[in-house]
Amino acid sequence: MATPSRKDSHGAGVYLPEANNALSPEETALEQVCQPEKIKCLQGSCLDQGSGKSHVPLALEEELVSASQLEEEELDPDLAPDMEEEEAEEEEENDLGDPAVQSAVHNSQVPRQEGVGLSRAVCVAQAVAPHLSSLHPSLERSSQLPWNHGPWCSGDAPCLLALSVADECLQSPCCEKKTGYREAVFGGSPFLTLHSALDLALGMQQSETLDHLAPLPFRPSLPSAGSAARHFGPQLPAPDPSLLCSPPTSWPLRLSLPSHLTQLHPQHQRILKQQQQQGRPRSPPAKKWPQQPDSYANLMTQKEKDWVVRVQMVQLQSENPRLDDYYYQEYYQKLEKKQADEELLGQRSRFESLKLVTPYIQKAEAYESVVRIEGSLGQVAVSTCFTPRRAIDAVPHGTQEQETAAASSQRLWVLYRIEKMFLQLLEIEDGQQDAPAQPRDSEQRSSRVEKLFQALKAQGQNNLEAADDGFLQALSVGKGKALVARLLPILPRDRAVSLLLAITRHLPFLVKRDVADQALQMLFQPLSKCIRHLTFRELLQGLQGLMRLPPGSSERPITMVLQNQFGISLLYALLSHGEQLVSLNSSLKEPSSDHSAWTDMVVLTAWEIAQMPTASLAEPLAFPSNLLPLFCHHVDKQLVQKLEARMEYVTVEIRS
Amino acid sequence: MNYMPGTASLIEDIDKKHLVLLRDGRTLIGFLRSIDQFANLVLHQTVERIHVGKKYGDIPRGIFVVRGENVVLLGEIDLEKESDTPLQQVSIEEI
Repeated sequence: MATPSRKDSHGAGVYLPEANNALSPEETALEQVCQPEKIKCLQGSCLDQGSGKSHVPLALEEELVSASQLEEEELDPDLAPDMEEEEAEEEEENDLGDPAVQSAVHNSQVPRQEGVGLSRAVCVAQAVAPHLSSLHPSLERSSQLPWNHGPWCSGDAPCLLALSVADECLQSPCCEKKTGYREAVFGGSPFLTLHSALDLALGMQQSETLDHLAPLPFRPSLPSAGSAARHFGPQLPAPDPSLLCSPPTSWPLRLSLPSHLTQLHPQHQRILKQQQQQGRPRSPPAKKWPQQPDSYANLMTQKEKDWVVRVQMVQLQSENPRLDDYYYQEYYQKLEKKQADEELLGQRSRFESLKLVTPYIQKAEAYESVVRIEGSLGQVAVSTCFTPRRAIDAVPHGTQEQETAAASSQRLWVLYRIEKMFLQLLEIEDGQQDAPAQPRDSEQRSSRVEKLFQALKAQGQNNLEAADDGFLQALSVGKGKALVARLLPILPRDRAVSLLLAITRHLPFLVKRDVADQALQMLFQPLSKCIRHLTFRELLQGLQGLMRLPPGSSERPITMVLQNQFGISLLYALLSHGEQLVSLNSSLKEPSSDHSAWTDMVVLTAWEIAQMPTASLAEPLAFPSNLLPLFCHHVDKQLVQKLEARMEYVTVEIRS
Repeated sequence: MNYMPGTASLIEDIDKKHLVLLRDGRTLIGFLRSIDQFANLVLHQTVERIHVGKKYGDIPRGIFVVRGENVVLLGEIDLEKESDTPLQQVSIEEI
């Protein structure tokens, strides 16, 4: 980067030559010659002007002035493309740049207008500023400075940024010399520092882009005599290379802009080619990144990117993230937990993994869609930014059209019901989690539970359906089964029992419907818990449903039930419970009708089981141990043997 | 710079070469220059690639603006690995 020889010249007191180090060797000779001229020029132009002009552009201009002392034809094209390219990159009017650029090509000695130089300098600062801010992390702070920083910067934000950035540079401990320079040449120094920064970084790249960028600030406009106000007395400290070395990798990407692949004005292109043919020393293109320096990079500015991100963040806002974004929240919790564990175990390197935090952006308050003015007849047409014209409230207030009992709409309705019920269930469960035991809350909770239960049992759209239909429809859907499975534990006993009885009543129907899903299994656990609370009467009720011969069919429902895993498990669970109850109650009085009914049931069941070929008997999810003894009590030996054969087969399967 | 941790975003893909598959079956390859919140894409130096068996042909198309809803998927192309493919490039006329 800065060649050692150049370092000496640094002592000359003016920073400018430093930046010129980036120039190709053949120009350095020229530099040497020009330097004294430059210095003179600078000092000469250091007139303290009035407050009229903004200092920044002035300072820039000075540099430009001094640089322009290097009246080297060869350098102009280098500069010009850069300028042009920089301008093209920003939204500066190109027409402004072009004449200047062209004139740079044609005649480097043409005294340029101040205005042009001004704009170009500003443009350069603008181009450079964002890069620097991204370069140094500490420099990012400067972006938060209030824009109206001072009178001297006419609200030019990028310039301001550049200034503050350079300020930081100067303030950083790496800066070798901190003189009163800062105050004195606040306008000028940052830019110079910027450029040295650029040069350094670029120099590290060993890329020819260096050549192009470096002379940039020094090219251009000759200000008129009355310009400039900065006193460049004290030396500009050279920024420490290490300071700017920090993110070297980002630089090539950022500063690859002024490359020889830029869209050039045809004349420039020609001149460049000539130059190339002259055999300027070229460093081999750094193959650091896969492609050649991308000339179209950063068409999308950082601001625009931030804007898109912001819009996306707003869309992600939610009042209840655990509800809306459950999986991410869970994942993040697990991650944090794991990190906490790691930290406990002594892993020093604990990194904070980022969490998606949506910014809280106040949503625009709802506007009044219809504006009523007193005394007016009807609505007045008011035009807002959201609705250019909204004369009438076109919101339908009527009830939903009577939907036909088409299967699809019916199904949709069921799904819709299930979703609503799930939300209610989640609310209840959340309440359970957060506040376990509070008397006030428990009332609220039980009322919620009751509401949910009613919703579950609710009718569909037509009230002609049977009593249990709503419930059964919900159970036909996999999600509905999950809902019931989660709901059962929190229901009060009688409610749960009623659900259980409904299920057993319609078991064949449910089994038939479940063939596709096979999801009834998830109901088994909660139901078996519920079964344990059944009274004998209720149990009988449940079982009787299975024994009933439905009209028009010779087959008992139990046959189908036995073929289904859930069905048979439920049946066994019921029988087992019944047996338990009976054995418990055997000492007490026996309601004979119940008891005989029970016996009938058992016998019938045994018979049915024996009837079934072993192969079609489903494997129960749980095989209660008291079943065989139960059958032994009530059934003859032969039958028991048959039963044993079947059941043993099953139990062996379970045990294995 | 990770703008939104835990999300997928196109921001980091800007200025990189991408292969975009559209809903109508077209395959576009170009540099992703700009995006918006609907995932509308601006592709630069786009080439439409037509595959026939083991061969493919490229039609240079220029600049594309693709409406987000028409994108099936898109993926970054590793420029170094771009050339090792078993496929053979042929001229468009042939395809």
